Amino acid sequence: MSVRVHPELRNQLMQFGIGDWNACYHCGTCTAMCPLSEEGFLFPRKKIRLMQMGLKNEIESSVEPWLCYYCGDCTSTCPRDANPGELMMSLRRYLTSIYDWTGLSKKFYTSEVWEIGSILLIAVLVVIAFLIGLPAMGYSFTTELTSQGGVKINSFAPIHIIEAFDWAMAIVVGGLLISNILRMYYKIIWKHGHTKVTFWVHVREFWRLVFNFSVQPKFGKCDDKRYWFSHWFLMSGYTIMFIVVVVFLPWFQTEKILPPWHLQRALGYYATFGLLFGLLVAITGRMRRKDVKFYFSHVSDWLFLVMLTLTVITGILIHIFRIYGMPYATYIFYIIHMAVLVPMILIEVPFSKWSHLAYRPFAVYFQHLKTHAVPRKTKINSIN
Amino acid sequence: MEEPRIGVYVCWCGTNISKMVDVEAVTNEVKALPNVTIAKNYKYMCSDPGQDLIIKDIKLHNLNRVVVAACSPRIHELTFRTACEKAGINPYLFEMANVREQDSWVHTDRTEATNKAIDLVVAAIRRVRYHEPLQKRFVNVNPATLIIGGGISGLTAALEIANAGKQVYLVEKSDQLGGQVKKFDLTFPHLSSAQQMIRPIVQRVDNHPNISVFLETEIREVTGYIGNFKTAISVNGGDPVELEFGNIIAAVGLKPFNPEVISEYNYKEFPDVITSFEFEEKLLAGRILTVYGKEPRNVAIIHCVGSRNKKYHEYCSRVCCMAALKYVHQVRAALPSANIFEIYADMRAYGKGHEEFYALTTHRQIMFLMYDQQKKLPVINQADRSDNCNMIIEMDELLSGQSIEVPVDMVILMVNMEAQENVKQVVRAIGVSLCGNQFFIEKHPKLDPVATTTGGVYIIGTCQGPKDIPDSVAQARAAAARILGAIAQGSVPIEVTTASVNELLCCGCQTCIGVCPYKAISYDENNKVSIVNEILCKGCGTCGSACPAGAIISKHFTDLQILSEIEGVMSMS
Amino acid sequence: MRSPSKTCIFFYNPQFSDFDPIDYAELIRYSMTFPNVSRIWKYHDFIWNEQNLTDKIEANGIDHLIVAGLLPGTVKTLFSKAMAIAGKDPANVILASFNDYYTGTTFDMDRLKSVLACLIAGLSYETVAIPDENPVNPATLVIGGGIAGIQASLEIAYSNNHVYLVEKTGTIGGKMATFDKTFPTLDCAACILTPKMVEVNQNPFINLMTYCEVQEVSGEAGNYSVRILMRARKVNVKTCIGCGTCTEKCPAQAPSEFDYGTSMRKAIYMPFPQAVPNKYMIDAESCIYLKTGKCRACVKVCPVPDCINLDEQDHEVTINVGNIIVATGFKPFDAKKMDQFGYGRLPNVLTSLEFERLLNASGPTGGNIHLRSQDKKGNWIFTEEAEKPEKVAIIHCVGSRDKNHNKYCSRVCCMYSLKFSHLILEKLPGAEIHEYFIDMRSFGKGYEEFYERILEEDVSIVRGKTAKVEERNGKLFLRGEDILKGEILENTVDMVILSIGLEAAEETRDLSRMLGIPRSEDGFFEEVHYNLDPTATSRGGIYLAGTCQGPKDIPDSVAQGSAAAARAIQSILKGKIYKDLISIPLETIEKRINKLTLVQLEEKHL
Repeated sequence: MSVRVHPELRNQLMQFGIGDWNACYHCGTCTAMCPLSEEGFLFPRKKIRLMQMGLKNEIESSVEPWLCYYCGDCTSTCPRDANPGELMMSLRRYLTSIYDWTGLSKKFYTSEVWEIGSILLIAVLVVIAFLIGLPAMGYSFTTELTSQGGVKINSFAPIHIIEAFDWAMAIVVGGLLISNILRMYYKIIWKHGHTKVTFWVHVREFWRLVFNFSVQPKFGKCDDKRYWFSHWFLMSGYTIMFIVVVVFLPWFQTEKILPPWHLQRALGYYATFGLLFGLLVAITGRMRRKDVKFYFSHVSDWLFLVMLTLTVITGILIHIFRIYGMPYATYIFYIIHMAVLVPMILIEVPFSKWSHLAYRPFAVYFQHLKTHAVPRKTKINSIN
Repeated sequence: MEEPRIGVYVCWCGTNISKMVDVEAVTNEVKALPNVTIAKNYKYMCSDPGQDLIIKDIKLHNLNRVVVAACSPRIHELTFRTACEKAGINPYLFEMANVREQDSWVHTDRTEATNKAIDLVVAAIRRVRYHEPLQKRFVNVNPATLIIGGGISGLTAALEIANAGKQVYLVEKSDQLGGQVKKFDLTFPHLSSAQQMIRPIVQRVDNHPNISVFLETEIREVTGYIGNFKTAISVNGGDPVELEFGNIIAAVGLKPFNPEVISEYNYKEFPDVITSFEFEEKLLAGRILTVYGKEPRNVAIIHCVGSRNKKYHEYCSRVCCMAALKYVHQVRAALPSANIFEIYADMRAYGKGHEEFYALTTHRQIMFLMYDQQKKLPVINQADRSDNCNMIIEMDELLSGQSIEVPVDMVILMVNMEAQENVKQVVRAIGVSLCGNQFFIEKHPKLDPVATTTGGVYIIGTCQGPKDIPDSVAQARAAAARILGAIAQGSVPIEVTTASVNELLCCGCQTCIGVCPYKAISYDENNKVSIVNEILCKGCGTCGSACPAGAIISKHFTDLQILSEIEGVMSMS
Repeated sequence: MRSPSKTCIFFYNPQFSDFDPIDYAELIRYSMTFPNVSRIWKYHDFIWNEQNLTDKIEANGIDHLIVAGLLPGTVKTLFSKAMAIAGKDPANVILASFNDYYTGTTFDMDRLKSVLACLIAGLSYETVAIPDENPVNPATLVIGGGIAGIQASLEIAYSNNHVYLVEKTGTIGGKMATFDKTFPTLDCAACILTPKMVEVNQNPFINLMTYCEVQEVSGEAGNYSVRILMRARKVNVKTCIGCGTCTEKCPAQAPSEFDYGTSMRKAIYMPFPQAVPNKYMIDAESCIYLKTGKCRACVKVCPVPDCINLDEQDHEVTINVGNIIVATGFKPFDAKKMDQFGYGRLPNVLTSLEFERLLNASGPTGGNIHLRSQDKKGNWIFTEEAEKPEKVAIIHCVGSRDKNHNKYCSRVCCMYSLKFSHLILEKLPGAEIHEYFIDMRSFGKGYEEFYERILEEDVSIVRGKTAKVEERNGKLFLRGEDILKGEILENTVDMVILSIGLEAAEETRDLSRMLGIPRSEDGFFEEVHYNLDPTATSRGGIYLAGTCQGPKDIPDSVAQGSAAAARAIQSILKGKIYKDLISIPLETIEKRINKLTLVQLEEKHL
């Protein structure tokens, strides 16, 4: 059965990135150049074609955009101005907005006012919570120090409240992500009436999800290994921090100053370095714009980098000020820290760039489900 | 007749001959034959050293006959005749054995091919013994030129010759000059105005003192020979005018293909399926509208209509791809929000600035779709009301591997260019031949694309094969160069291997007069014999073979020469 | 021809083209000086939609409008539509397309003004801008001895006029002489070319000057004086008998230019056996005597007294000609620039030109296809001992249609690649051949039929250009995408042929300076008018022929060769020749316009 072409979809997609992919005349160089492109899951050329012809369903049901880690070889060898690498990037943004049922993601990606506006709003709320909310509940900006001469942070930011808030936030974000991933699953696997994936396959292939999340072997396949390392370093740092802050906050946010080799601090330092290193690579890359992958920067790319950097730096400062007993400095930076961290988590993780931490490994998982899909006996088939 | 001293030269033609024919063996075989003074072989006889070899030997061994075994005489007979002449022997004391086209290229068994080569060479040797010296003859060239066709090529050639101060008769069958270009709005790839381009040219031709234009006139018959042609034309019904001219240029061009025969496209069925030429009319009129008077929201342009498909025409029309890309810009300018679909097979943007133009076009919000012009053409169907468009194109898209449907309101068919109806008549009149695609055949596809096998007759522009404007005008000037060259020389050589009547034997039956295709033979009432006009005679030999009394001898093809050649072929096996 | 009446001008300068150095302000100022110009709009202070246009046309009662700028045709239909809607004649939309007026990449304001002036007056620039004439020197200079140059020289010689044919290398014949067979008829290049070369050598009207280069050109149309450097051949062309004894004895070797380095030649050599002139020459770079002062082997063995003069020096001559035909041809794209194909690193990755020599009977392997192999010293060479390839891949569009290299299409590669497939099958029956292409451009007479023929032969022709070639255990490994199948395409072959594109020859830059003729963006010489005069330049008496104007196949080059000759012959017959088109000053144009328009008005009154 034949599908209808949709020329208008092109303009929609254009909002999610730069580049006039119509320039592609289909020589196939990009696909052959890509070390990640493999039988059954060819990209970028095939995806460019879907886009040129505006085949909406085919685009939404494709996992390929998530299999690309943007080394940029395709773009640098492209004989036209088609810029395949950027297309894949834009498709990831588009898909994120498609998976997201709230429709916020589309808003954030296509309107800077919306994205920055909502970030500021949340930031303000956080600040208010700290300046008015907590004091009203009787928590004070106390100047007295602990026996070790450290800041009494928990009396300023009561551990149980912060922890509760963390959990709430984690649940909201997690809920959103999971619901989006379900939609992703529906579009990629379920929607295809004529094939089905057995439950056993779901179980058998599950390890790929874990494996790809923790190691990102695909990224490793790219010719340039540096980016894989820096990305992995950053990612692991971030994950550790996330877990520590959400699950083990009472163990992590202590007034007692532990020795540097103590796991609490060691983990903190590792995460900090991981994050800083990754960020350094990304930011310098985007500033130098020498590498194709960093040539075009969507506003969401910059926002994310800036916010994460701020979070890390403020985090470090809080740490220092607390240890050297500078209460006000500690409090101020704690507030800033939260004012950046909270919106970052709330906006970026479910709706924007950060969501790829979930989509990528799931895409690989779904890819393997797809490869093991079997034709399904349905009424339609019996008729044909 | 002095004792023949024959030099035999076998050519390797690189590997063309040597790979299938043992040239050494051939050389040795013929060395011993009577009258053969010397026999040699060389890699390329036609090359400078090859010819020097012959010339030196002629002088050294005072040869008086030469045989070269090489390619077809059509290619190199003249080359070697000239060589003989340089060495001081009459060019007609030379004979060529074709051991390439008629031997090495058509055989797969080396020994057989070698034996055949020997037979052919021996035949040539036997024949050349009876060759007689013939004297070259020249005729004066009438400085006037007849040009058939008033399209861009014809006009360019006319101006080129007329500007050199020479008379031109320009004959056009339609009622105006300008040809196809006059029907276009813009030209590719610079998108400049075709009208602004052609108008001044037509003007210059109209006002040129050396050009006389005859509109609505067709050439029925041309008599005469190179340098001295004649024709009678009747200008719109009036009494015929006699024209005399030395050279002829055919620039009759091509006409658009009629897509009615392609059932898939439903041309004529659906009024909004139009040809590129009909679309140009719309462009010139300023409005792109459907029959319902609405602006189309979806426009599809289908390439290769009637081209590159064995069912219609196998050849490529060479200009349609670029014209189609041109339309993209024109539609986009007039209908900024319309969807444009370019349905093509291979994008042939080969000319100067064409690929750049193609690249530019891709940035004009357009959808390229590829189909297989040989196996499966797109099908244009009526759309349902729910589709909110007039027609639906169903096709297998190759680059995506999807079978798709495309909504359209107007379809432009990029029609192929094919021969004019009256092409046969022109061909007959000026004595040139047509190829399978009904294009005029040039003298040599590569090194002589504008001349024909008939002396003084040239073919330019699209009638020689589809072409864009720059390539057509280049050919026009090429032909002009030849003609001006001939005029500058004042005279050209003509056929010397003509027929002559032995009046003692002629019984006056006049059979020859009937068979002569060149009207070269007349009847002498007083002496009751036929007489050959040696200027009109092209030496085809028809009369000679027809003459019951054996009274007609065709020079260089005497019975003695032919028979001894046949003996030669038989002698070895 | 329309009489001047209410006209509006729209300047279309959206700067979408990378370069737009035109001073529009000045052009506007100038246009305003004409009484019949009522309004002028610039691109940026005007809303380019039909509604607005129609309103303007009606409001200002415009009968004629001129759209001026780079590629104004891009918007023409918008204007004709607006005119039609406003009930005016769409034919009165006039384009002043600045690309067309042989402006090259530099825009001469006076010329653009002239163009505008003419169009505003309702005249076409071509009819007004007819240059004055000079007397003409009947001799003609042809630069370049390739097929186009040869054709041009012969045409002129046929008209009994004198020609100087200047060729840079030691022989005429150009690139065509290095080919084996020519598409689509497959007749051998030598068979059809060598006779013409011989003819050139023998024609009394042609003065053949090989191993020479144009140094300086001065003067103007009809009378150019040209300084020519005559390289020291060090072998006397008149007395050399071409016996070849010197070559046998010569101890020094260098890669053969004629074989594109696929074989070696001596320091004293003949470019190829059928060279014209068929004489030897010495390459100063590799000659031992000229480097060390010892050897002179050739001189010792040469049978002709003082035929070889190793101390001969270059010298210069100056000739006077009326016309100059430039036919400098092309240079092949340097495949080393595309490292992904491994040319230069992988011995059996060849360029198409190298492969032509491999196919050619006078080539390094006597016309048999062999792999490049290592000799005892370990250098990679072609010998007839080496193995023959079983699998060959041909990659199209190498260096062409690629924004990283040459944007343009080289026009001939598709066809010669198809030709290769056919010839390989002919010479290596059963060989496996793969062609990788993007678009198959078999456009010429009999080309499509040839393509069909190859499709029926046992060749795999795949849509999808190979992306990279690597060495894998001694063989060549290709990776690409089979577009139509939608699969990754991986293949291991013995030999890869790169269908390299055509580029403007080295000397193009210098010549364009010397002759004062512009080059277009792609580096080739620019013709005076794209459609009407592809073989003429903006300078009087200087013409273009063949691939120096843009990639071309043999028939098109030959046609251009003759076409260029036509102009020269024409001027000689007339005894007069047009000066440079660009030389006409604005004032003259204006005067002529006034005269012409007056004539028109009178005609009206009569």
